[in-house]
Amino acid sequence: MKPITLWNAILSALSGICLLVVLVPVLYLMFGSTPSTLWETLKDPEVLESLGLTFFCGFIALLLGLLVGTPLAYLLARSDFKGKQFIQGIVDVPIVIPHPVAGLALLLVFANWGPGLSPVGRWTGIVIAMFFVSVSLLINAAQGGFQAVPREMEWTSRSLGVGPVRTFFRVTLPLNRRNLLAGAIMMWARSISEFGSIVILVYNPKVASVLIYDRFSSFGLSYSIPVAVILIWLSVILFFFMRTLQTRIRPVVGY
Amino acid sequence: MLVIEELKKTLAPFVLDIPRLEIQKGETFVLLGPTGSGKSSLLELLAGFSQPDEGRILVDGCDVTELQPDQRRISILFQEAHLFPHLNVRENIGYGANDTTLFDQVIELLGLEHLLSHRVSVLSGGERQLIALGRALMVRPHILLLDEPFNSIDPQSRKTVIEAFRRVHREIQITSLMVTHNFEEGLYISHRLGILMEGKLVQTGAPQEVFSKPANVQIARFLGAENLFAGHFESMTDSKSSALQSPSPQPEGYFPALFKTDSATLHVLADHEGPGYALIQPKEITLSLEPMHSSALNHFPGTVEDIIHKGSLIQLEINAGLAFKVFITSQSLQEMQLAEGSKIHLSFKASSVKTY
Repeated sequence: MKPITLWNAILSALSGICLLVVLVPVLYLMFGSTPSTLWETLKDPEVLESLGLTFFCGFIALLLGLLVGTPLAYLLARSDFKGKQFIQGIVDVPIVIPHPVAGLALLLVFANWGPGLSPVGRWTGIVIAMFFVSVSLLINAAQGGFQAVPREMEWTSRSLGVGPVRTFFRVTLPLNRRNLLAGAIMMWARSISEFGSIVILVYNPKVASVLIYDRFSSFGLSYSIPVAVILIWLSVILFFFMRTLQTRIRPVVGY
Repeated sequence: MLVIEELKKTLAPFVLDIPRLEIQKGETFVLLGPTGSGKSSLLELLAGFSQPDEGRILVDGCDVTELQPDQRRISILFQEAHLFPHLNVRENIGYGANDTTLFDQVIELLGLEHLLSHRVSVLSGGERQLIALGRALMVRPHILLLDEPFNSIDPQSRKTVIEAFRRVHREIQITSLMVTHNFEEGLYISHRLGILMEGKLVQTGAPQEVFSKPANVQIARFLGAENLFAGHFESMTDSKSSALQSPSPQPEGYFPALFKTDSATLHVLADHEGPGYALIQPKEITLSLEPMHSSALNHFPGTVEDIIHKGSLIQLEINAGLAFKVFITSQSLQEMQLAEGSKIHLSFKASSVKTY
């Protein structure tokens, strides 16, 4: 057995404090409701509908993120152009602004759209808000992954007569799948936990976070907790599954 | 056949500038140059990964300068094999090939049969590079570019891999351009050599010719030439001058001269007076235990200062006013019974001294 040094003891103690701050409230919440209350909550159609809406919108936002965020990440990783730093800055904006501010900005954009077109108060608005606040996480993770794929790997493919599109899908993308999946997990997680911007843009239909807030402000703590517990359990299970999948993918190393 | 015409590309801090270079069909041309001389940048231009500022690149008569890398029929191998880690060996070799009829031939030529079902992560550096070569050959390239392909291979398997490359060149006779800073590999694999320094192709020729007669002092230094001395040339007007002229005709523009250093004076053929350099290739120096009487004008008594074993040859460091390095076989060493401190005589012809 390795001897415990003072340095290791300090590291462990500080790490323990960090974990406790995160873990204690989560554990309190996870085990703060009785199984019968949870079962009753799960049978509540409003809760089910809200959870379904949350996960569905999170999924659609993620698909959109993969569709348009991945090419942007690739461009930022591989190209040098004027204004690259500016675009890099734009990508990071949603991370640094308060999310109610993001909601207000989106509301300003969509407020004057016609009744049939405006996403305000519709599920499409939820998707847009989720996309806005979370796509940076996907782009940053994917960009790091693309940068880790040796350029010579793509050049080799090109010199073997394979065009740029096929090279991207046969070499670059498969080699970046680990980072891409990590980014996707982070984006999806950020999406389903979003509250600040969604509550301004789309109060109804209610996503889980808005429903929890609504029940808390209307009926008190005991009504909001079971919904929160179900959201946390579902998130933990899905996260565990996706992280396991991610660790099974070998990282790119120089061959 | 690969032809480079008036190729220019601005690279910090110099311009890569190759007025003309022709590599004949089936020829292996090796470009030697120090790190940062523009070797890899040249390959990137040829492969189409970057565009030249000026000039043309012709492959078998077709101008490929504007073509995309995948349309040029030019394959490239890098220092690392860059096998695709998500594909197995068979899939890697077949990557890019539309026609698989060549597969068995390539596998046999490179002796890769036993590796076909392996994952690439379990292969050695040498095996990876052979598979990368097989993968490149499968697409039937017109030109093969090699960017220091043996560098990442351990010394034990390097020889095997180089042999395989030579075999491929012999059997397939593919037109190749290899860049490297390793002289031995360059000598071993090339039909013709070129020296690239700061973006300029400063010398081309047969390998032995380039090594024995470097065009200038910088090239001589880069090639690690032994017995390169700095000194001063003085024109000769005495009787030895005519003696020097008689045995071998001197090159145009050269005249008999004395090359003076602080510690020795050599008879040479020079093309200028004043400061300069003299290079005496070790193979031009004759050793003897007693003073020699020959037509050679340069005779020096010396002392063996160090004996260094270098594989099949032995390097003697001899102090004869100047510090000479000479290579002999171990049999010669025994026969002459040389040891550190032994007295010895060196001689070499004035015409065998390369002057700059």
